[in-house]
Amino acid sequence: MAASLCRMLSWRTFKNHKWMTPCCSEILATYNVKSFGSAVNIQRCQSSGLNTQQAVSPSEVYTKASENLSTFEAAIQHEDYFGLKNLVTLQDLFQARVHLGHNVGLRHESMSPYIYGTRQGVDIIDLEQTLPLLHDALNFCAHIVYRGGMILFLCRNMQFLPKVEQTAREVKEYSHCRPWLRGTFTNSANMFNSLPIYPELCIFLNTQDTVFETHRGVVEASKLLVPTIGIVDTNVDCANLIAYPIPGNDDSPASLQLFLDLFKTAIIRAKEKRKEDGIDETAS
Amino acid sequence: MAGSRREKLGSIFARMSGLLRSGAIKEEDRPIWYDVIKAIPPKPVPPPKQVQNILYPEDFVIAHFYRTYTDPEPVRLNDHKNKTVLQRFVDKYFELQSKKSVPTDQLFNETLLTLKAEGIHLITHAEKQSRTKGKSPVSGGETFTDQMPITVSKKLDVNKIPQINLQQLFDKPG
Repeated sequence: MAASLCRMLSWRTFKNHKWMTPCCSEILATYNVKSFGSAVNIQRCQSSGLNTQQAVSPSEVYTKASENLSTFEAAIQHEDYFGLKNLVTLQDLFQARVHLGHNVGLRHESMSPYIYGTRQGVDIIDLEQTLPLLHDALNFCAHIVYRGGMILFLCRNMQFLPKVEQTAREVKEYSHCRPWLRGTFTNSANMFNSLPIYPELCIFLNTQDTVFETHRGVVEASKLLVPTIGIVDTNVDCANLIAYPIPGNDDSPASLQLFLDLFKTAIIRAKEKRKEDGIDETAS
Repeated sequence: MAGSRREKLGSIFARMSGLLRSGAIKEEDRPIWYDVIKAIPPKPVPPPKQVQNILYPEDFVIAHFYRTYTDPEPVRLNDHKNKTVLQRFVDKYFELQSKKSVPTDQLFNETLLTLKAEGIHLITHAEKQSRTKGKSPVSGGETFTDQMPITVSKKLDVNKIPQINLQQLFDKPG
């Protein structure tokens, strides 16, 4: 029962996501400090980006929240509010080698609809399907950020760890590229000894933990109703658990760099829009 | 826990909708991603399909070519100006095919003759093997002796080695 209460409290909702109670923001701080010390290395990049406004009365909060709600509604009705459609073309994807999949023997059956064909034993991913899925994922990511959501980048490829962490730091979001301890999400109340705050969106830059295992974070995020964006290669077996799968090559530095740049741009644009529309008063 | 932790049933949106509908979570307590996922619904996952092989017309020509002939020399991958012998062969083959003057079963031989007339020397696998054997007797199974380092040191007199401009070698293929 205590655990369920924790989970219920830890969702940041429309009512409280911006004007968090002091209690909640303290929790956020302890969570970050705790995670720094432990093996679970969620990087803290955003120093109280979700600050409190303690002087605001409840009724004022309510009117402000409803105002924001209408702004959010207007934004989401727009087809391409952040101008992300022109950010990437099929040619860019091709040049970044996003179309290259794995060996035929490594293919997972659930990925077959996203595969264009097999060329000399190597699966080629259908970029014409990837592009709209990528646009949707970027749009979703930007809207979450626009509404004040927290983003967590996850990647278990050691080669890309510095790049991913650097990108997360640049956009003032979070990253977790170290081995995933079981229960980081599902048993977090005991692991961190405090009320955890879950990210609003997990971006998996590769969904394999090792070459044999799926990243445990995919399953745990799905269990706890945290939306996920994932780059799924042809050998991935968890595409159905990911809310917004992007079929593409997750092993080449070039393709990963492209994806990172795209997400970075989406997040930066969303934060700019947030400032423009006067939602993010705490940042200024 | 308000919701089920069975992650394999339904999507997160469906499960959250269920929680809202049943009243386990109040409407104003819904997470901030809920409205976004409602407005930008994820595309449905297409059913599995049979994956086809990707083949081009020239693949058959290339396979036929390599059955008898081989590359006369190593291919320079950074050389975009000059075509390889194989590429010339493929181009000539399709050129003759488009003319339709030659019957299909004779196309391959006709291409060979045309290329030979243009002065391109094609070598078979057997020829190449015998040529490499003749060139380097060391690789042909000669045993390593004590004499060898001496002969090598004689050859590698530093003062006598001419200075080679590597860039020049790349600029002038062949």
